[in-house]
Amino acid sequence: MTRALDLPDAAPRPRALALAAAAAGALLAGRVDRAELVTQVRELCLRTIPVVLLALAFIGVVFEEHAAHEARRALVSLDQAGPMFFELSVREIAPAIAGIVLAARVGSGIAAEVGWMAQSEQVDALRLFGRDLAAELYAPRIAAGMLASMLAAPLGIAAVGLAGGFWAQAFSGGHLAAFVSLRLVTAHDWALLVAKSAASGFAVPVAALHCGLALGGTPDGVARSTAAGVVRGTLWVLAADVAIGATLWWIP
Amino acid sequence: MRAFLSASGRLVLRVLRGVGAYALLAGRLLIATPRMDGREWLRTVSIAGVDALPLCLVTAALTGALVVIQTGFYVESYGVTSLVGWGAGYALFHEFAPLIASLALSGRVGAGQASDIAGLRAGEQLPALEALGVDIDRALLAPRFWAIAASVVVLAVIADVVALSASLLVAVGLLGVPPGAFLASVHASLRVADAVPGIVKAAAFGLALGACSLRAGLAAPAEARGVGAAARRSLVATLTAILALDMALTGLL
Repeated sequence: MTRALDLPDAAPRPRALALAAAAAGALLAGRVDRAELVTQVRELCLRTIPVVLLALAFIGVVFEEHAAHEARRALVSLDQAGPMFFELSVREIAPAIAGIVLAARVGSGIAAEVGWMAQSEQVDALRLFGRDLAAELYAPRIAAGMLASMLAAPLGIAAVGLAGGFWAQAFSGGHLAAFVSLRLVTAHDWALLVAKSAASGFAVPVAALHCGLALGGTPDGVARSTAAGVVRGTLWVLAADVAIGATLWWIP
Repeated sequence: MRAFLSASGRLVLRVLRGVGAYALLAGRLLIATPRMDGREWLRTVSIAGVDALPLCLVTAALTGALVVIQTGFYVESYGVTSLVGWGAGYALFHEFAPLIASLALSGRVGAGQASDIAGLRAGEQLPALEALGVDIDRALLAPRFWAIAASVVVLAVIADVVALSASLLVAVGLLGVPPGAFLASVHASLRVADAVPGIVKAAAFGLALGACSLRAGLAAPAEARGVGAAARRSLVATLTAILALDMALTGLL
């Protein structure tokens, strides 16, 4: 038997770190399959952002309800809490919830697709024909995930502020302007938003790709890889959130 | 105009079909509940509860740390160290612990159940059981539904405790708050009743998680590709249901 025919079975499933390094290398070198990138942006980015916005609008109303309850209890004006609410949306609520929704929507999509490709031996076929997996499989999905994350979080801030503000104005006696006020938002908050969004956008597709490739080769692998991709993506989002929050805590 | 009306009509029909499907599933589950299979219930509790415990613990600990890091920013700014315990406890009990734990479990438990049911359909085991006269509502669906709901409630209570403990550790380590001051703040401003809204929310999230995952599994195409599709649909449906329920219940509780 020739060595070439041994290749698919012998090819090891990449570790998450190796996969991330290969994908980052391809992205930095500009080795990205353009057609696949367009497909992934359409599939992962455009279909995910509306879900993120809907989720964050719900969350905006929930947090406004909590703020209104506590403002009533402490006998202070709800509008005093508005700018703090918006600042918290920028530094924490929007990037964290957008990351978790991203893990569910983008993570499940990538893990299921790549898991299916692994099960139906399409990944092995790509390897056999010497195709660049980093450029054709990893990089387009990670780039689309990062784009989704970097767009979803800032748009999500508007969704949280507007939904909370409208709810406050309609039902709690507050004013919309207070809930979209940038008065307390500093460069530090924007830095947290960018760092957390970039980390989520990178970690979620990497976790999903790794689960898809590692678990997808078995008969029930697609389902297992989908669930595992979402769980690991969610954990990475939370861990990155804690790590970035704690690191930037020391920077004035 | 015609295209808009056509699209609106399709959307309304889709929503009505979904509502009808969930109503039918609820009816089947309620009828089957009194005589459901206890062993299947226990088996699912073991999968959805015991096996998901590590994930729940890690998620809760990270959530607790996260809440204190964010609370700590305001505590430092306004010099109100005495409120850290109250802030963390309130945010965790009322909102974050049940919400984040349920969202994490929707991936581990919900997607797993949906793909399992879809796999049974794809492998023709479900039709085979029905052909042999087994009532799958009593043998499979009702026990799994109630097991998932019960597991989520218990895991949410555990998540409350673990998240608050992680908050204490981070408050002491990062903010330099004395442990006694943190605990005194929790004791002075929070009562056992403050845990009730979170537990009620967790129960609602658990019911939604069970219903969405079973429905996604039953509605998936009976073929291999349907297994992955069921997991994905379950995730999106559960996420939407949990967030919508969270909004509705926060206003009510």
